[in-house]
Amino acid sequence: MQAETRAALAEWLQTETGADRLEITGQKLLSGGAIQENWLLELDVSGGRLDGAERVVLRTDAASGVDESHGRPEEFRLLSAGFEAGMTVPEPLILEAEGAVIGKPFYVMRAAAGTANPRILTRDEKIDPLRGELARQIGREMATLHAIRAPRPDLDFLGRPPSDAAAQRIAELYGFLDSLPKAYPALEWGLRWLELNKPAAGPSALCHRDFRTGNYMVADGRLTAVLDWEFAGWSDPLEDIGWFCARCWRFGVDDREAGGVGARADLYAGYSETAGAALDWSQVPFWEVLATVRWGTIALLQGERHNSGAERSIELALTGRKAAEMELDVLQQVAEIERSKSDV
Amino acid sequence: MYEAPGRKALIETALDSFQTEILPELAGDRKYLGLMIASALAMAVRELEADEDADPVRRVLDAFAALYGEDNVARAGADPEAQLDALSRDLARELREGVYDRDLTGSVQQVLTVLIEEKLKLSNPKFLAAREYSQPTPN
Repeated sequence: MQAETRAALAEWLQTETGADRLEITGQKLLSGGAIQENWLLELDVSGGRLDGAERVVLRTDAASGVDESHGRPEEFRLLSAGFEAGMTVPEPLILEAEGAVIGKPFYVMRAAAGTANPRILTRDEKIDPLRGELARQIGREMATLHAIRAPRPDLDFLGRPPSDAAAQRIAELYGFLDSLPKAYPALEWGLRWLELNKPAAGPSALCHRDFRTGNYMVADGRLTAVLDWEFAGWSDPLEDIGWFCARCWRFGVDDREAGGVGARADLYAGYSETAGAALDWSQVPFWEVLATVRWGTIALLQGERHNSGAERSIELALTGRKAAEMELDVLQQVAEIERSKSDV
Repeated sequence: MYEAPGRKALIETALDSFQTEILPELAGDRKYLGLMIASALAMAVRELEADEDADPVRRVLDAFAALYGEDNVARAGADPEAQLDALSRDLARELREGVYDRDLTGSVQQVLTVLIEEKLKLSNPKFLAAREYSQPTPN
């Protein structure tokens, strides 16, 4: 961040939060944001709403965006909804929706402690004794989120809840595949299987839709923040469960079926405890297949951003080439489900 | 008109010195970038090898022939790559139309498995061997 931008930001923050004095004493660009830029800011504040705040994160758009993701103002409202519902999220502090201060919209939230790095979270042995509680905590967070139901005037930008979330997802994915220059018959096969095996539609809730290892922070074995709300929307709560548990988000630690960090039974137990009732867990394999097809398709869309010349990036190029991993996953998952059906 | 070393040997040599001399020096975000660079170069080497022996695309076309018949595969185009694209497009459309609904896990799944395994041999053979996901894995 340029000195000029930083001075303008400090002045705006001071005025908006009613501080007597506000200085930005440090800044650091945080890693892991292809779509968003996250700046850790160190503040020295006295007075006003941020009195005493030391570490905050400023989140704004990076150079490029993904079409289906929300902008910063919408994400701020989603984060606020989660915070007010009692979720463990970074406290949202202030939104600048106009782009008048640093040239693009941004919001500021309190910084959370810990790491979101999936390799550490799935492999650090120091976490091992705490994994049961961590998985239960994640389940409780999801249940708290899913208690948010329409109508919510503050979230009207999400549109109306779908009458059949799975059908809506399948239609969206067909549309994404049609936008690609090549055909992907293994993903088509997975989508056809999903169409033929779609469970009856249930009521929609607010879903995060990218709740997976890598998108939440953990410090000392405890979840400290659920991050990255840009894909949230009304959906079937099982979509979040399936996305979290899908093999492609276990980062190679397959036997810890809850996101590579814990046991599935603990995740479900934490969920049921907070929700007051279990979901129909027998439907989760369906939603894991859907998650795998979705991630494979998103990977191809990201690769196409590179291939089309819209945005040259080795990360996007290689993400596109990852899709074959999800294609094999889809073939194997469906074969396993079908085998277990015929065993009964 | 090309001098030795050829394209494949050039990339291999570059990759080798990158992996032994540069990659160990990197940390954090730079390490992540370095792993991606190595992964891209290794993929390019494997695909140059595949171009030399032409077996991968042949194996996939043979699998399609088991489903569609030799004649129909031959009719799909002159160039194997174009054949493969056309056959993939046909199969995708038929799947969507429900042609295989009665036996989704039958012979059509075998064709798809051959197709994806051949793709993975090029893009990420470690995934086939040990389900090791490739770089980049998003944070």
